[in-house]
Amino acid sequence: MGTRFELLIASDGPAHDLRAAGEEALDVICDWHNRLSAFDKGSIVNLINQHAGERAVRVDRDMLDLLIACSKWDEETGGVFDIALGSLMSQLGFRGQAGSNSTPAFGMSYLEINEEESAVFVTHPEVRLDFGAVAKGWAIDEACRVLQELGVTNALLHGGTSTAKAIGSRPDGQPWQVRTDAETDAPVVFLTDSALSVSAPRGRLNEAGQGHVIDPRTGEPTRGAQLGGAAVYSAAESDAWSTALLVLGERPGSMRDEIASILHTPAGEWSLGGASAPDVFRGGSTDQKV
Amino acid sequence: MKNRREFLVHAAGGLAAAAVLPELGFVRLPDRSAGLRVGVIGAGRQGRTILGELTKLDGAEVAAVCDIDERRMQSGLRRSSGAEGFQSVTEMLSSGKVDAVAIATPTQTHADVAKECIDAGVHTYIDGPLCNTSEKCQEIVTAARGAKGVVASGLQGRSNPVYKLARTFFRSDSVRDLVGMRAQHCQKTSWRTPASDPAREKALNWRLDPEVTLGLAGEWGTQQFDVFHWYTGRYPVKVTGSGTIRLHDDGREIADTVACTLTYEDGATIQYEATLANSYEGTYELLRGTNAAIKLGWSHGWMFKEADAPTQGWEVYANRQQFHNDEGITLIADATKLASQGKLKEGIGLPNPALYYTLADFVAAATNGEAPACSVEEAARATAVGIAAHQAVVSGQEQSISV
Repeated sequence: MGTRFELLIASDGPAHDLRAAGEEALDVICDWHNRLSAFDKGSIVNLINQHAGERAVRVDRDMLDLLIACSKWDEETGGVFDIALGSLMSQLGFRGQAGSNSTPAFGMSYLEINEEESAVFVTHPEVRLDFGAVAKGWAIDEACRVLQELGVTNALLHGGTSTAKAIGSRPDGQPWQVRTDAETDAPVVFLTDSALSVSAPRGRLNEAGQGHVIDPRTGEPTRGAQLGGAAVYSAAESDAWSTALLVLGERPGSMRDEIASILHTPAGEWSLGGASAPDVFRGGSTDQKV
Repeated sequence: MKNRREFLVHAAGGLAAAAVLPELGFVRLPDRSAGLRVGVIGAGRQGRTILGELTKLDGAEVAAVCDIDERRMQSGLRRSSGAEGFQSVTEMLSSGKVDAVAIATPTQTHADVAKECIDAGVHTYIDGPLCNTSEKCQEIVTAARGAKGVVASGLQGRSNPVYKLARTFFRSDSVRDLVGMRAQHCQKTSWRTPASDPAREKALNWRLDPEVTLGLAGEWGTQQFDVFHWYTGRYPVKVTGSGTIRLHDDGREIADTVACTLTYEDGATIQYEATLANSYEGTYELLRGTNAAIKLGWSHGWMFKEADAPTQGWEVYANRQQFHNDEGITLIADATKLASQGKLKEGIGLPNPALYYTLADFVAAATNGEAPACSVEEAARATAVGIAAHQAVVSGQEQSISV
């Protein structure tokens, strides 16, 4: 993940207990970083990638759950959310030096998950798993789960300013408020027990000036929208959908109505979707477009 | 065809092997087909970390997770695939599901748990330090003498490939005469474990309990002092120390910042600092000699040569890193092999945490019937130094060290 996470806990409890709870939550995030980092040679993801095309790798229950969830989101998004784009990320220069011009094999069709054996097999030697599109959200969900187990009822946690999750509301009973973009006309999202993720090509650019979000249908960096965002209870699911929305450039029919969506179109318009969108997204220039 | 630089790097790798790498194979990995069934006892933070590393090891299979706390046990089970959960060590041992155990319970409980496991005939790994009193450490040593299986301690420096490599330099006289030693553990954290159940708070926060804790000097110092024992083959004879609370003024009695001086018979010293109030420079050990200094930072190691130290040839082409006014030669495990493949830079820094190699050593020893990387006798001596350092911090009085 390699980014800054910030946690705000609102409580009247002793400060040292809150600090300890916060440390526990941030430990969970560090732990997931260590497991999912594509850069860390000791991560489980690297171990899976090292054995691509060779053999299955045993994973623990937590990791298996993540893989199963990713498969589900891959299906729901019509394949535009894909965790097996690592070879393309490398080729395009988002994982160090850009690679050769020939397009490597990629995509989740090369991924076999054996639930019974708790094992995963990347069947093609070129394919690489890369959880960049979902790692922050997954880690934030796990950290929030721990915070709630420890009795925290009001908190806001964000990772790299692109994924945020609220536990409960602010202490004054109002939802936590997060602006969806740095622009002043960008809408504000109101979160209570919910998460928001936003994806934008400009989040990270390679030397050729291309954005880091890849369209698995073409193998090219996407140009579908300026920004895609999704708000739903699970931060990981909002991560997956924000990436998918950015790639698709429009809200697909397969998206559950309870997931609120926001798109900043290439034309500069804000477009909202989902039954809860008018309550979730407010302000900015969206007021006229809801 | 190699260019001149590549050729020199290859040649340098060969020379390094001949001149200063008497030990080969710094990473000992267990046989993939072994399938040692391991039970992890204690599923707190350290236990879950152990579970994560064991899952990466081909030769081990996590077969059981044991913790008296149901929530923690369940959390530990999620770090395994198909393991069985237990809330009693006795039940886990009698289930016949494990060939080996890794003990990650609070330090003060190690002796009772370890003795039960050793008596049951399973291979036993005990996380460091060995226990919280010299008497309990001796109980483990005595039990281990009659053990059917391997009994290993988790003092991690002895399994760390970078530390093994650096030790060959140290022992081949690259450092020359020892001037002094220094170590620190700096990490900004409260050392407090949050409890969802207030009744469990005291038990979970054993590291803050003056009755049982070894404090920073014992819990972290033992690991770090052992590196010096392992390198020099000697132990300090006395220790002075002090401690204070610099940040976590939350009612605790245990210092969050400590400093110790451990003195050897010939007057050489280890200067030790540990704090929970600042993270600068993290955790490292430093051995300073008349020809060079070696700095060991767990995942990385460096040698800093004096200007008048003799050149051995290989270092001309070694990887270097600048630290303000000093230039460190990066110590890379398996450098010869990597250099021959033109991949020397890829070897900088360990790919896995030190704990991974410690557990790999244990699993390999248990599988192959070999001696452990760190015996409980060695661990008892290292822990005795840690206990004395903690007593010096608490009492403010000089403590003699008897190992």
